[in-house]
Amino acid sequence: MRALEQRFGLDKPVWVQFTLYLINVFQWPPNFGISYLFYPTPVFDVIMQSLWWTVFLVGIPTVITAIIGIIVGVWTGKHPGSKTDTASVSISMILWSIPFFWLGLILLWVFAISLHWFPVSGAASGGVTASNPLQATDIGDVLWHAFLPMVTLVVATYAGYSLIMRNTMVGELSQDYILLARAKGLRENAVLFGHAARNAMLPMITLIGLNMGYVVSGAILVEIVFAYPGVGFLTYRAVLAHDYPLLQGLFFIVSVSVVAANYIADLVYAFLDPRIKY
Amino acid sequence: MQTEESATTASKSEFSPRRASAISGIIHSRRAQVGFGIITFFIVLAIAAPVVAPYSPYAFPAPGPPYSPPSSRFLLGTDYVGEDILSELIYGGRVSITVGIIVALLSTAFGTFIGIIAGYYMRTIDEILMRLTDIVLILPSLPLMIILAAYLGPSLQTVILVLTVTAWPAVARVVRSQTLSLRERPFVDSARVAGASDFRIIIKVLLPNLASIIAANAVLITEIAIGGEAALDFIGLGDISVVSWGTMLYWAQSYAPFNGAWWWVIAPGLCIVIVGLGFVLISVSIENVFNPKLRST
Amino acid sequence: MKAVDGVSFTVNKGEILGLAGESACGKTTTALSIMRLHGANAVVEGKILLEGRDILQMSNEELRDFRWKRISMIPQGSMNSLDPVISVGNQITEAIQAHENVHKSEAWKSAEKLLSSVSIDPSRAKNYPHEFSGGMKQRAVIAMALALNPSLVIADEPTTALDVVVQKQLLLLLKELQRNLSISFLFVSHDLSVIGEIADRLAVMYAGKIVEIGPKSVVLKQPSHPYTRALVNSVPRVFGSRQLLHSIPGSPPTGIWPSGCRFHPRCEFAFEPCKQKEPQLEVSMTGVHAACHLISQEKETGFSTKR
Repeated sequence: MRALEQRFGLDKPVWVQFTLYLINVFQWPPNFGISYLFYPTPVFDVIMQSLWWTVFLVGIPTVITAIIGIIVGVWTGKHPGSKTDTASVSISMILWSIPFFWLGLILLWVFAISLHWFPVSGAASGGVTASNPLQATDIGDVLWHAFLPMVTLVVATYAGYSLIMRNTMVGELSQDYILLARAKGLRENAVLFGHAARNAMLPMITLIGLNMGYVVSGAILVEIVFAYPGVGFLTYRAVLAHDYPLLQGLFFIVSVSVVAANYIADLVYAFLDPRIKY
Repeated sequence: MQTEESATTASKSEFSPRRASAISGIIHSRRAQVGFGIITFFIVLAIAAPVVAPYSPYAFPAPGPPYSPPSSRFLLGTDYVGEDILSELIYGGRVSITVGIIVALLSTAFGTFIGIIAGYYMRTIDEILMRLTDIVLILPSLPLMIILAAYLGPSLQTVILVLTVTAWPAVARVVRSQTLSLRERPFVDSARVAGASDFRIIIKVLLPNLASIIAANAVLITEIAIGGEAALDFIGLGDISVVSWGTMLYWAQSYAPFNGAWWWVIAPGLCIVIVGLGFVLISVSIENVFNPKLRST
Repeated sequence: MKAVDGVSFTVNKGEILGLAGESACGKTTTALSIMRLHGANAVVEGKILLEGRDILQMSNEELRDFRWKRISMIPQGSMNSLDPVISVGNQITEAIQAHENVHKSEAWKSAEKLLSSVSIDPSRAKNYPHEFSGGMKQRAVIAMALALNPSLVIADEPTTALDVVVQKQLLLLLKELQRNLSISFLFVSHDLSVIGEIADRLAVMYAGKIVEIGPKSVVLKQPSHPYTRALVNSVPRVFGSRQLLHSIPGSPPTGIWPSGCRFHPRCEFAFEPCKQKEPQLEVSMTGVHAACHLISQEKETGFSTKR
């Protein structure tokens, strides 16, 4: 027992532990300690094995939802109050209220357990050997496993983007430059996408950055439901096993990633808006 | 994002006639009426649980055979032990909704407090408070909640605490920006010139004008808290011996699919969706009143 | 409720027709309607003829093609009429390429030429609107309006947001364009002094109707309609002896038009028929068209009550 305590540094006073922890973290590769659960693998390595799977799982749906959300937002922003718009907004509101994990559970049940169209869990048949989805030997197999979780994420995050895009479009379409664009005899699509949407996109980019935290939270839940070996599922296992070093490391890395994503979104915004010098 | 917009436009409702018409606008919108209807229905159901529910969800021995599908005895079937799911739903609603309301109250109170102080006193206090707020705000909520809950141990109080911690920063931000713009208004200046103390100004002048934005936020937080509570329970960080919509799904996840008990999974989730929808309708109608261009009905 | 009621006028080739009036008299609505750019809830009836073609009869596609080619506009508040995220040059080339099958590089060259024709350094074409001053933005919009050599340009309050010096430059520029390219302008403004400088003919609108229309000097120096007269008198004179400022009592009607002549509640010469019947445009003593009951009276008596 004593030996274990010494091994993990738990015998030192708390503030010393904390300072040592920080010093260890801010080096490369960061030292988050040794995982209880995966002893004796260091936490950092454990996390790195799962991180890319989550990035893969989150990245593709984010791109898809952003695109669909923008298109729907543009089409409904044109005629606020129309039947199409009301229907679209209502659908968005319903989707917004659906809990991520419940949706995932239902999809899993219907399409995987009952219909056997998709695998029940995991990221690749026969377990995960690669730590990076791009290195996996069978991309088709990976996509097949990822399909249901990704669909869950797309459906659950769609509403936010489409609603905000719609509202922004309504605002942009009432601006003066739209009148002139129409007067110039531009085709309606050129006015909508070339002018209005281009301006409306800017706040969307900030939104995508801000939403990252929400999407990651959702991904954690989805991974748990589908037993998908990303950082979310890892977190779940760490919680169950009281693996505090792993939990801390996960929290740190996930938070840093979200903050970084926000920062990148800000940079992209500054790059795209000619009024801002960066 | 939605609440930030309400912050800038809601400032128009500083005079009573305007605010009265805003409130009537909300009350009369069909959206809000549906939303209020839904919420009221569930709250009444929750309060009247002992009267309405056919069985007790903790009944021992369990009233029915496990995994029995919906029937006249058990309108929504039974769970893996044999408890009536409808009763679980009604009692569970109590817990879920109460948690939502408590979290909304606590986080709104704390967030408003921080926001007003920061916005009113500005300069250093504002800097410090906002740095603190931003740190919590920027961290992704579920991971934060998980790690806190992991240290605090799974229980209902943990869930409430952890949800409140992640909810208050957004309130603080919105209240602060509203306070900043309000404090420059003439009626605040005249109160100060008349010799009113800071405390008085805050309570008597600022708070009433912030009321609408605070209310709009509180509604939103309740909805998010109910969903959040379900998520935390689902992971197993809540008190799994208490029946709530979230814990129902926790148990259902393990046992329902392979026993074909689809009703067990559908019922609590559907309740969360419908209640959530009710709150969303209310908050959207509040926003539409303040920003008429967005009207969809 | 008709914002514009029975308005009819002609703009001749190579002339500048001024359209004057107070706010909410319907002049902007008239201007926008010509290109069918009015709001979705507005209805336009009648005929709008440009070089023989009725704009109101055109299909959407014909209209889209027609816009900017034969008729273009300089909208009110041109400062905000440029898309902030697209370079000025691209906004001009966009207008060109929407109607003509030219290569981007050609269109860009045209854009540069257009900018220099309004005294903007052509190398600025790649700049964004926020990098231009107010006056420059205005001139850029004018350059864009000329891109396809239209026959008619509608200028809606082009000088309103500018300071006097820039105003003068702009007016000189428009006059030059009129001379060199023989473009017609419909110059809408509430500022009579500005219209006075630039217009050839002048139409005065009140409450949705044209109350006087004729050659500028005649209308301004010898107004036939009491409203015109009051407007002219309310412009303060810089030279000459000092005077009290005249203003027209009351405010223009919105929503509900007065019975009979719409100006009668504010008119110092109102008499019996004014409340009953709406006056129609007729030729007055000075040879212009004006809508006032006094005109027939003057023609009968040969005597004008308005000095």
